[in-house]
Amino acid sequence: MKKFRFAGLILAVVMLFGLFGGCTLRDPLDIDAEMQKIIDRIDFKADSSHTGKLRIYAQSKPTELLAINAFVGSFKLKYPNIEVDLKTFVADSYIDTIKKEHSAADSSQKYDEMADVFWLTNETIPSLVNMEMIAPISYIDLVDDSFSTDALVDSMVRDSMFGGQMYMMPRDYNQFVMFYNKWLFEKCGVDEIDNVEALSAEELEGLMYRLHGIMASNKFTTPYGGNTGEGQVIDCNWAWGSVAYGLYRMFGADVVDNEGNVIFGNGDATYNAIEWVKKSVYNGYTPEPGEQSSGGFFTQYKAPFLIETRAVLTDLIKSDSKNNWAEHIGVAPMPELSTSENYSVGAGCSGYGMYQHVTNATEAWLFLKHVVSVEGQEAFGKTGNSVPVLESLLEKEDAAWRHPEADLPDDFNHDAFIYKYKDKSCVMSDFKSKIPAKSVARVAAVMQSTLTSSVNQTPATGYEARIKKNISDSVKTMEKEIAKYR
Amino acid sequence: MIKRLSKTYIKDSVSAYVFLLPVIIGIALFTAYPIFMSLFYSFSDFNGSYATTIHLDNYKELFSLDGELIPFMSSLGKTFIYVICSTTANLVLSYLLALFLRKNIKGIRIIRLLCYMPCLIPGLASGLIWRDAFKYNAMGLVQNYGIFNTWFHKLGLPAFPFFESAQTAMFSLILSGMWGLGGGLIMWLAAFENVSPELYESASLDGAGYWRQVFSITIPLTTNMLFYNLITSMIGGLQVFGTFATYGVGTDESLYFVVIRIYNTAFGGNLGVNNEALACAMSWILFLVIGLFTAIMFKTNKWVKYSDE
Repeated sequence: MKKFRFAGLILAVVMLFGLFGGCTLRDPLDIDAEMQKIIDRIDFKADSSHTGKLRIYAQSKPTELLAINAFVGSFKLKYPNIEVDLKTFVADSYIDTIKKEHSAADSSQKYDEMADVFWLTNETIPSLVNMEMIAPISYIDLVDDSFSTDALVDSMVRDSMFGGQMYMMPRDYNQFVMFYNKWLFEKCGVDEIDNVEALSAEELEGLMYRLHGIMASNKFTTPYGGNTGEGQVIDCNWAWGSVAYGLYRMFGADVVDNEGNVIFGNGDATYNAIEWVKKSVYNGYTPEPGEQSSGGFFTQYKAPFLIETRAVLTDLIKSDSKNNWAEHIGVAPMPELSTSENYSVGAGCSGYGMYQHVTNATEAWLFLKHVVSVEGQEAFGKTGNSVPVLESLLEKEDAAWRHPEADLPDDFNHDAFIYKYKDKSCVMSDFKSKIPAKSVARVAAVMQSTLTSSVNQTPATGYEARIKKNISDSVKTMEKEIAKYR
Repeated sequence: MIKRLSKTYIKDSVSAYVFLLPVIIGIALFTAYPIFMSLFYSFSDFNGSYATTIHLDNYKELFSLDGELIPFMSSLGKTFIYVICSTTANLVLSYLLALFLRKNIKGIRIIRLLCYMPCLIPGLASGLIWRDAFKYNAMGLVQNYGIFNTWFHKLGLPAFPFFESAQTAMFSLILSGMWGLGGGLIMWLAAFENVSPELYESASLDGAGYWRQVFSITIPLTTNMLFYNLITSMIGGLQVFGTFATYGVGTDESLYFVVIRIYNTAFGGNLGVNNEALACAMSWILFLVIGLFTAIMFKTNKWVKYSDE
């Protein structure tokens, strides 16, 4: 036994080190005081001659690089004396990685090793707030007279908020549209659709029936092998939260009312939305929710329609290595799936947040303001993947986003991306803001899984009772979750 | 005592400890320290970055009917079902296979190799293969069936839901786990080698048939390996996590095993507010459960025969 005493001694020392070093408890941050400290450090009069440094974290996937490089490039033109250090991380583990970086910085109190600004999405805000990683920039907005969110698309500002505070500077406006493949229309001998107004539910149903029949019976060979008989009519990831929420809203359903009471199971609206997807899947018009990420059928020329957002436009164009999408791709507004009165389009955005322990506060705030400035939005617009969040640019004919660097057909309808955006777009924050913050993630997950399980796990016929039971069970889960944190 | 250690023992052994130091430091920093910290975190409100208070709230939550007790016990129950069924099936079938493959017939080495080859395929890849092979469509869309249901369809048999139904998902997982029988097979074949051939010769001369020899010689003399396999299978099974990458938590959470729940509670994603402290408490409860069952198994291992007995 004596032989192990020395090893035991070393172990004990290390563990004691852990006890006194790592276990240090601390009080939660006083956000009011912390934000005041940040505000005190910001030079609100900084101009283009300002000198400083700025560190930014972003994802390393091509579309994100395109976006951040556009913002950083235009920022450097505006502030040539600010040195920008851009660090990128693999997309799949991005949030986990920056959380770990924050934990390390927090443990060692070396906050200057973290980014000042980082990319994030609305979905990630709750966990980042819980870790005291992101600063509520609405505090800074209040004291900076040169800036106001009034100029931004209102739904995106709502999408950037959590618990009544704005944590993310939205960088674009993304609502769902219906891309279409002109090549397939021509092959099928079907006239192109009206891409100015949204198709009515009847028109869409007729079109799906017709295209599916022609594609299945003729089995046209696609440029990428395989044939159209293996495809679908509408390629869409219905399990995607913003799509699913838009779908429910399209049928008049919602998750909660204004008081935060669950209304997901009220009436037949939710059931009708689910049944629409179920019938479409059964008829071979669209993939099962969650079956694959959207775009696979469309980019392989096996689906004439794709429900997606502007954010993937350059990916779509690049995906077609054998043809020129510029000749084949078209875009129309999100079609009606139910009545015109209930028409609703899912929307959302991503953006950039400020680190709670920001080192270069002035530079970080200048960058966030730049993201939503005319210069920043125009630079991002040129990439082709952006619809501006700056409302004044949305309908401006010579705005860069309408004339991107990417090749697009002359009749490419940019207006489809802002179709009825003022009064018909919906964001998940519409219901998230009405329920306790800690219940948000679970309630959103239940909303999504109700669709997936009801469509994928019920038989072709006699499914009504099971779907209604699913909805009823989901309502109970949502109510329990909300009550837990209320 | 410390003085005595430093003057005599350490002086004599200093070179040995210098060589051991990297390992000791490694174990202390990357094993002992995280274990200790997770215990600490389980009594705190650790949020992945820091803790503000020490309390018993996580354990209260874990044992509260309105809290995590039911979901956690549900996951623990599913994990036990998986452990019992998969361990039994794997041990029995791999044993039978090994009994067959220990015969020195022509081409036996090739057959053994073929039986072991599936073990060379990474778990994730084989999981994806089985998921596709077992694919089912509740609406009866034949084009969405996997290979098994396509065969069933062609034979006029009803489709089987496999992973798509909460009732059959566990069975399907255990069935697909048979893919790895080769791993157990190798161990059994090694264990058989340790049984003295004289025993079989004696038994044969005494008129014992094949199965009599199996039950009276082979099985008793391989109980040490059986015990080892039981212990490692139980510990490994209670910590099953690899299924998560392929099957997630299964239909209606039918494959929501306890370690997956711990993972989801801690990191479950970017979408929610993670609860690392509660996950640490869950981990310690699981540790105690594993420790308890391991202790019970060691206390009741009188049936195990070792070669020196």
